[in-house]
Amino acid sequence: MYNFRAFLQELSHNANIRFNLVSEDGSLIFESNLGLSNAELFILPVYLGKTKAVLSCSKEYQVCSSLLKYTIENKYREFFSLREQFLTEILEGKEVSTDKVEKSIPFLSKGCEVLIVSVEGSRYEALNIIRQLYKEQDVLSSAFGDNVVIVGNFDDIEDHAKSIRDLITSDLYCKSCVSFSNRVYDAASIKKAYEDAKECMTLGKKFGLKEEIFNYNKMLFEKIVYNISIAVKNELLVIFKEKFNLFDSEMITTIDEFINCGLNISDAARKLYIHRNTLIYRLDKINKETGFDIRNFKEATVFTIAFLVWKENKWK
Amino acid sequence: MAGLSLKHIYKVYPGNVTAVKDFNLEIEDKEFIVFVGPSGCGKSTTLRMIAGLEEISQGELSIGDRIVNDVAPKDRDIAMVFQNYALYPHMTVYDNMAFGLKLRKIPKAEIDKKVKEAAKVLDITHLLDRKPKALSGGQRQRVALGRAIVREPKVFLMDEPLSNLDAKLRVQMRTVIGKLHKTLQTTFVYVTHDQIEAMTMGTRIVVMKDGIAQQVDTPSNIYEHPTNIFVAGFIGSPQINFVEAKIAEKDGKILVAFGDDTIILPDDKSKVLRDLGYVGKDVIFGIRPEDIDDNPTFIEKHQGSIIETNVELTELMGAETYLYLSKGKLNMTIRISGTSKAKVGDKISIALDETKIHIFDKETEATVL
Repeated sequence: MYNFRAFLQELSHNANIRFNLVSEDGSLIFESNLGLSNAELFILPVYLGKTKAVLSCSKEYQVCSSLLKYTIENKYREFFSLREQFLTEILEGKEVSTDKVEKSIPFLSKGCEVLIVSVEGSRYEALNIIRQLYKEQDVLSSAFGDNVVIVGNFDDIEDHAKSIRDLITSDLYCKSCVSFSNRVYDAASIKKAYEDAKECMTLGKKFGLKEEIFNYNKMLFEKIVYNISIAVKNELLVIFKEKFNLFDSEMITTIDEFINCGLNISDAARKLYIHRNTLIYRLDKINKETGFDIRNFKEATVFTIAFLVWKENKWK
Repeated sequence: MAGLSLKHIYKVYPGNVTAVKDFNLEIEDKEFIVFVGPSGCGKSTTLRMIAGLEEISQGELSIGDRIVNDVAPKDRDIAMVFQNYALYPHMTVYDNMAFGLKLRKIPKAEIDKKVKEAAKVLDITHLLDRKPKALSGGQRQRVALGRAIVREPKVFLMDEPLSNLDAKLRVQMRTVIGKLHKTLQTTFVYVTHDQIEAMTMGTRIVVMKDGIAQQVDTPSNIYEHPTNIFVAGFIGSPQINFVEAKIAEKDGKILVAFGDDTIILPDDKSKVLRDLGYVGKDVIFGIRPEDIDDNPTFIEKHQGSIIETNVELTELMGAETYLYLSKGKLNMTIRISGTSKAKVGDKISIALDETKIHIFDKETEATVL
């Protein structure tokens, strides 16, 4: 909204018309100290995209109010579709001028993250509520490919990712995954950050990771496993596939949680809502079935790799 | 406000994995129903099917008078609260609660009224200007509840909403949610793995295992009259004592025999066992820790069920003490007064309240009496 507000300020100043613009929900978009009573005001609706707003100015400008309305609506459309278009160009790897970057993403110099939201339902509905969520923020969002891409300055990126996922679940009632990568400071790096986030989304889905929030920096292990040669993967599958196939969902969840908790029995037992002795019993059973005691770091490493390879194979 | 009806509900995942099997339940309007069971028992899947987050493979789901199998989730008029409900980090508590209503284009004055009312109910009015970062875990969960409350849905669905809180906060929040149910007079469907939450909050409890509802009943009935070994063992802390035994008859009396000991059963229980042909059969008997005592007056009253045991461990809990006892292969936990003088290594006499004994079929694990 920053650049749009600057435009409204410029419009008011250059046209020498004082006006206020208030959105339908009552939030103030622009104010130029009218200082008039209600009886002296002329009011007309303005549409900013799908959002309705109210434009108020002095009755003496009633004749030019339609022109004012047209200018504001047109600029809003141009401004936001331009920003969206601009983001698409960056993500497609097209050359963009520094001037354009400064105009469209003025907050980029402060640092930005790229988030990808993959939704099982309508991505346009998801995009719409994400835009509502970040209406007043330094955030740019667009539908790109099959996903929604968000570029913004987020202090607590993980919290934002979780809240976006929960928003989609609670308001659109559909599943979603969110991935993100490192903070970037220039337009060229946005493309790289997008590719990283996309890669970690692919890995997260391939390995069926439970959390649905995929952080590029925490997925190096999955990346390494993904890049293991097919011959080695097949070798691991020969040893483990049948054994893992025999485990029921409770056992698979146990393995998942134990690995996620860094092989910490107490943490894993708490997350699984079971007594630690029950977990120890299950780990013994895994040892008996597979010959791998996953309480032992070295054995757990091979086991975890095999487990991820099996999951990747299963999700194919 | 509305009741719910689940008829022959199934959830089958690809690969023929059945998560929920033939689930039947009628939930009345304004009822507080709790789904409880171990992880993977299908309780969250059932809740998610009610919400519309999971497709129903087979069966019929109604909210109020309307079958909602094919109704879009957003049109089901429900609100969900999750375990890790993330608040919008850049918004104040007020805006967090108001956001859902803004999306629905509710007028500003109405939003303000609803948010303030919900904040009052949840006792978070003083937090409305704060950002989530400045809130404690319990306060965050209250805000998450507030976000659901302002929507005034027909049904609240809560999936382990307290699991992320520490023990003390969980107790506090249990009271908050209980009060909320009374204030809002709306149907609540609540999922938990915690039997204490289930017992203290629910008007009725659904105990689930392997995708099947094992028992649907009031907390007291579930506790006092479990339908099988699983329910008896799942509800109650410390857990009910199970003992492998044989039903025998001596001098016209029906006995439960185990190891070197016998318990004479009261006439009403004896009649049932005799009528059902259990005399001479192997069974499992269960008795809750509070139905066993070492108090002389109690022992005097239950002369037909006295056992000599060794004290293996004592746990003083304050007002009460848990004694872990053994005799040969027999292990038992009893809950007695905190003033008990029993020490580790003592040999003590205990008596079982024979009227409180549960008998389970050894093969089917179903309750006989």
